[in-house]
Amino acid sequence: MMETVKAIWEDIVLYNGDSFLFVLFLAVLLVLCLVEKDKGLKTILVYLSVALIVVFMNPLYAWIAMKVDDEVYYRVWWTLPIGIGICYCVVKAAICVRNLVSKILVVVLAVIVIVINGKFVYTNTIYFKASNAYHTPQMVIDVAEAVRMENYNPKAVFPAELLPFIRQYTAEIIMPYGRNMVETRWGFSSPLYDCMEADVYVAEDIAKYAREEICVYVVLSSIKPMEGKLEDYHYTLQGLVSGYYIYMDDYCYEILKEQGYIE
Amino acid sequence: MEIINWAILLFLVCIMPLGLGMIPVKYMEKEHRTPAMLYVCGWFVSFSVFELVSIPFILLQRRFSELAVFYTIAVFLLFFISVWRGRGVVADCLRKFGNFKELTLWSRIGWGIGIVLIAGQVLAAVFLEYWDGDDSYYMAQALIANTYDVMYTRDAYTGYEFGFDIRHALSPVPIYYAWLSALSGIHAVIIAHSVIAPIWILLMYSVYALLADKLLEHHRSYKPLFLILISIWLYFGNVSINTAETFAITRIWQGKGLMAGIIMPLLFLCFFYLQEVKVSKGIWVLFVLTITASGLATSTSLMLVPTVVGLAAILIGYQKRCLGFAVKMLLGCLPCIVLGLIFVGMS
Repeated sequence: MMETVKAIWEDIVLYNGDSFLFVLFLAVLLVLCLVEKDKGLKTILVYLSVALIVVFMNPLYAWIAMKVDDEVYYRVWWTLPIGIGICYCVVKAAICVRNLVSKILVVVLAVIVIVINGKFVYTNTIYFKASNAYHTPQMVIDVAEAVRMENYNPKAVFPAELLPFIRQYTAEIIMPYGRNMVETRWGFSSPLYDCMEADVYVAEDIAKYAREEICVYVVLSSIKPMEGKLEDYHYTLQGLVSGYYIYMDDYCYEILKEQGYIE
Repeated sequence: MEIINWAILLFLVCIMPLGLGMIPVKYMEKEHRTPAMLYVCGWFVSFSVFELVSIPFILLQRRFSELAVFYTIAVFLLFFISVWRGRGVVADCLRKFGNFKELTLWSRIGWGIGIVLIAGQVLAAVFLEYWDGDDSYYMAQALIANTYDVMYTRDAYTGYEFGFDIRHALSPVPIYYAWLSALSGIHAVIIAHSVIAPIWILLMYSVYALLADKLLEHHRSYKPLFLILISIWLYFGNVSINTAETFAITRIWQGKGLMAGIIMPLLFLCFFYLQEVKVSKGIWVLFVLTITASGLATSTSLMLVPTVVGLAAILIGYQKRCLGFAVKMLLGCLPCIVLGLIFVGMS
C-alpha cells in the first residue's frame, strides 16, 4: 500500500512538472466554492473535482487501476477540469470588477500567471517544420521507397533513428524489430540491434545476424564507420539514399529472382 | 483524380458530421441548436456507431474490408435518415449566426483575437510536425488494416503475425483512420497528421464554445474571453509530457489525445446540462454518445469514465434529490462497463 501511495505522489509530481498547476487549481476550487452562486456549476466544477481528487488519491483505487496498467495512472488527472475551472474563474473575476481598466488588468494578470506557470508547447525541440503531408522525415520516405518491392513484402533492418517511422509510411516492409527495441524499459534485446547500433559497424556480424533474421535488405547510416565490407559477405550495395546505404542479400536476391518477384 | 479523393475525405470529416448531428440536436431545446452542437454531436454519432459496429468484427477477427463495408452502409444510412428527419434544425442553427450582429465592440475584438489564436493552433497542426513514438504503433495498425485486411492480428512494430492484441483492440481509432483511408484513397498517416489533427482541434474548440455558452449563459459577451483564455492555457499547457493539454495539442489525432482534449471536456459539458432542472432527450443522447465514444478513444476510459460518471451521478442525484436520475446516469455507462468486462475477461 505504501508503494501505491508513493507511486501516486510520483505521478502527481511528474504531471505537475516545474509548475504550480495543482496548487493553482486547488486555489481556484476554493475561490469558486466561496463565490460561485450557481449550485449546479458549483456541484460539477468544485464538488465533483474534489470527489475525483479524493478517489484518485485513494490507494485502493490506485492499486486496482495500476494492476491493469501502472504506467498510465497519471491519466486520471485528465478528468479534472483544470483549464476549464481556472479560465472560468478568471472570467468570473473580470465580470465582477466594475470598470474596464480593472477588467483588463485582471485578464492581463491571469495571462501572466498562465504563461509563468506554463510552458510554451510550440518549441523547436519538439516541433519541426513539416517536410511533407505525412509529417514524417523525408529521408524515411526516400529509404522506404528504395526498399519497397512491387510484389513482395521484404524484411529489412534499419538504424534506430528510422525504426519508429518506416512502418508509419508503409506496412509492406517487415522488420526484425521496431520501435519496441528502442524503448529500453520494455526490455527487448537483439544481437542484430546491438550490431546495428554499435559505434562501428562490423560487417561480418551484421551479415551473420541479418541473415539469421532472413533480412532481404540491410540499411546502414553512411556516416558511421564500418569494419570490413558487406560485399565480402555476399551483399550488394543497391545505392545511397538520403545518407543511407542500402544493401541487398545476394542469396535472397537469387531466391526472389527464381520465384519471379524480381525481374 | 486526387481532387475526388480529397473531396470524399472533406465530405467525411466536414459535411457528414453536420448531417449525423441533426437527429440528436432535433431533440434538444432551441437554445442548444447551434452549429457547434451539430458538429460535435455528428462526430460523436460517428465515433459511437463505429465503436459498437467495429468491436464484434474485431473480436471475431473478421476482415477489415467487411467492417468497412458494413460501417459505411450503416453510417451513410444514418446520415440520410438524420438529414431527412432532422432537417428542421438547420434553420435554428443558421439563425445563431445572426447573433454576431448584436455583439458589442469589445466582443467583436475578443472574437477576432480568439479566432487568431485558434487559427494559430490549427495552422501549426498542418504545417508543423511532432514526432511521437506511439504513432509507430497506431499508424502502423491503420496501415496494416489497409494493406493486409486484418485488424490487431499483426505486430505493428515488425509486421509479423501474432496473437490478438486485446489491449488496443477495444479502442480502434487506427481502424477508423483505415476506414477513412479506404473510402477516400488518401494515406492514413496523411489523414491523421494533416487533416484530422486540425479538424479535431476545431472540434475541441467547438466543445469549449459550448462550455462557454453554458458557463456564461448570463454573460454571453464574455464568451470570447473564455475561449481566448482556454487557447492561451493550451498554448502554455506543456508543463509536462503527461498533461491533458500536452496530449490535446501535440497528439490530438491519437485516441489518448481525443480523450484528453475533447471527450473529457465534453463529458463535463454533459454534466453541466444534466444538472439543469429540465434535461432534453437530445442531451441524454449526447451523454451516452460521449461515454460510448470514450471507449473508442482509449481503454483507460473503460475504468476512468464509469468512475467520473458514477461520482457525478451521485452528486447530481443528490442535488436533484432524485435517485432515479442518478441511476439513469449510471445506466449511461453500460457501454463502458460491458467493454471493460470484455477487456478484463480477454486480457
